[in-house]
Amino acid sequence: MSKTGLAVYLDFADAIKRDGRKTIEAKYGNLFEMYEKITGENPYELPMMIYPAVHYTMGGLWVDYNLMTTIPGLYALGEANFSDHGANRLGASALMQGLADGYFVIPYTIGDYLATIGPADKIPVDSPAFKEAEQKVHAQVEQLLAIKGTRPVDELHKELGHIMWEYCGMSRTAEGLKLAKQKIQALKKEFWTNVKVLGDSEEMNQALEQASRVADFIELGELMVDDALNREESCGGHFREEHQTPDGEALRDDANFAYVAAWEYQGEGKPEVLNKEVLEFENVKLTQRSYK
Amino acid sequence: MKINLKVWRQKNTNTAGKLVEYQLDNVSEDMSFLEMFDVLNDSLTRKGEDPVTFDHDCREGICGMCSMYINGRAHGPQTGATTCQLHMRSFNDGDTIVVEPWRARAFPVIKDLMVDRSAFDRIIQSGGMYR
Repeated sequence: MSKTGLAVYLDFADAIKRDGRKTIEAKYGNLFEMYEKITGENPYELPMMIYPAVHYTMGGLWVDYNLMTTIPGLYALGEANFSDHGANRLGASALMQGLADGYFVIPYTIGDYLATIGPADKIPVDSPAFKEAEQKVHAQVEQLLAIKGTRPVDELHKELGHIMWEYCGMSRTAEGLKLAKQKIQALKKEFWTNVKVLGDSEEMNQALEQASRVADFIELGELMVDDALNREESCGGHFREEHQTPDGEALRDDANFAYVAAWEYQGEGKPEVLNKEVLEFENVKLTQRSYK
Repeated sequence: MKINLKVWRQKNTNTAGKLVEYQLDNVSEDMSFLEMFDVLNDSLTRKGEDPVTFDHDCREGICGMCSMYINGRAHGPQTGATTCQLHMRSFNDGDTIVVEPWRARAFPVIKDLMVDRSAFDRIIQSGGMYR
């Protein structure tokens, strides 16, 4: 264990002995250099401290095959959408999606959409929908500034991160997730009554910007917990401890959970509605993956 | 570690700025330079003083968003490293560190250490990079 108490060691000594330093350098030189900058230790000589990283939400906004969201004309590309990756999203799959969406999809689909609308279709700023959205943003900004509590946004942001890390990380239990839900709801109350955002809305204000995002992250965090509670199986990055094979591998339940969960917002304070998009496999068969 | 900071504070583009001194008493050598600024901003916020505005995003050495001109050098003493990959072990206990925004006529200061980089964005958009 390292002094943070959170990392375990990965030792390259045997690999260096077997393959030679040059080979390891060619394979991992860049990574080792980055590691040395962060930790101040030379990974060719000392074992590396490693730690599992949080891999985003494993999902994103619902989009159609043209990458358009449920709002006409609003497109979501790359990691912002849910489309290409499955239940697991490790390594460079985010890069794959960014590149595939950016190079191969959007250059064609966005033009197709733009061809169907003209300047006359522009939504005027005095339309009721525009006014409603604008007023909502103004009201939230004023509300955040008026709280004048005692706790900096960053502190509350980190607290949310710790709840998610502890109870909604790679390994989850129903008990832990239920506790997380309570903790997030308590944090939400604390945030909206005791956050401290200085300055005003007429200047560059990073704390205000962060507060707006943390308000969203609190909602998203709770939804992730709901989703993890709903999915009574283990699958990809979602390992429910209650659902595992005798030798500790993820145990899926394809009969009941071979679907993408598209959660639909119902308005403030109302529970989201689950839409199931069934996963159909035509050319490959669903199998159990073993990392052993 | 104890660190003395001289940080450029400037309310907005149209206001004159100046260097303001701060002292931090509990800086860990494992902190990144940006994390050290988080600690400063936390204490400023609790005191009711305006936190320092600075650019940052991925904090893992990839995005290139963090800037800062540290002791007269872009990104500080290391070469080939972003500010988020600069750690406090590169400094000594009791050091005084001067932190300024990147000063160039094409990049006016928006606030404190944040500059307007849209001139650079326009060069990239016109295809003027990576040729």
